[in-house]
Amino acid sequence: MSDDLKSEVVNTGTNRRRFLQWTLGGLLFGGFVVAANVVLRYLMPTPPRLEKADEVAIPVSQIPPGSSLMLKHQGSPVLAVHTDQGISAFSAVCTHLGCLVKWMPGEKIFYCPCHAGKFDSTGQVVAGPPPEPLHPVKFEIVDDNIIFL
Amino acid sequence: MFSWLSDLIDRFIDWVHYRTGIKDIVKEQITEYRVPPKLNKWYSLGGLSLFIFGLQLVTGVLLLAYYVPSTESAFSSIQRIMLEIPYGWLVRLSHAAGSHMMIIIILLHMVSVIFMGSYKKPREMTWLSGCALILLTLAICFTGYLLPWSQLSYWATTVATSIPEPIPVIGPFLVKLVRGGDHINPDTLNRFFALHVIVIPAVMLALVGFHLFLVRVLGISGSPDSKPEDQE
Repeated sequence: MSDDLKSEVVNTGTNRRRFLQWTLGGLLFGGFVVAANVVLRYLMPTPPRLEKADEVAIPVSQIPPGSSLMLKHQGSPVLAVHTDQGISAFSAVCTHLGCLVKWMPGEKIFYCPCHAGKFDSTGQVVAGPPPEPLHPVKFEIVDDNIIFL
Repeated sequence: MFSWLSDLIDRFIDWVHYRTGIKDIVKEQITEYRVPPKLNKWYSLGGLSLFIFGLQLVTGVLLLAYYVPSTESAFSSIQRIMLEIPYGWLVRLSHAAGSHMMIIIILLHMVSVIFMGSYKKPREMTWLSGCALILLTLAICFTGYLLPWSQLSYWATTVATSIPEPIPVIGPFLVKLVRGGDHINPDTLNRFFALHVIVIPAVMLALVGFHLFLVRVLGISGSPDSKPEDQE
């Protein structure tokens, strides 16, 4: 019985060298898998930014005349306002240094709190340092729902 | 547990060995390769330079998957790699950091060779091919620096390419030759790109091969600690 056990141990090669070999091999293989994951994900084409599930639709009634609504669309902030001219939507990122603008209902301007940039309700620069108008965001109104594209 | 896997690997190695003699090569060149006694950590620097060179090749090829070598798109393609492509930042910064590490490690390698006198007869050609290799490494760093086509790379290349200008007679000619014009222009980007991704790496690969061939033919130079009779 004890002889059988002995030969069993020798044959399967369960010894320190073999243990170390498998451990080293496993570590190398693990490192290879991590590196391969990086390379594969780097080489895979990136999915388009807008998935169907990311479509933003809000009812018109959520923005009564004179009010504004900040929402997230395709991962970036969008500011929708309802003025006398109707509903319009802009990227809320100030074109100067990237702060978030806010709608001032009293003065009917977009105001950037960082460097006092001012934009009128059509997004044009009225005052302050911004070099270009606010970027408009396209949307459609279907069945009293605002759908951002 | 995995004995079937070991058997499979052994059978594959035997198949290759029968056709190439790979086992003997591995035995002579790796597993039973004799090195002088008392080697120290300074001897690892050559292998380390080779490793970083390989890493630069891999990350460089990966960057080529998204980089666009034109003055209009180069900078935005770099921005895309850094901001949009998954792990793009890792690949690009590894390439950038690797270039610095490669210079540092090669310089340390040269310092160790100088201080241990390993460049002496009969290893002069190994030393000279190494000198050519560090010049090529500097050249590949220099040409790679222009490729992002940023303000920094534009002006750094303007300054560096104007260095040969004071050379009498041929100076202005050399500057024009390197830049492909009187100033840095779109053609400069294209020729630097060609040099960076194919010309210099190909020459370096050949020289690295020659360098390693000489190391194997002449054997590793013994450390100053080893006794004279060990040197054989």
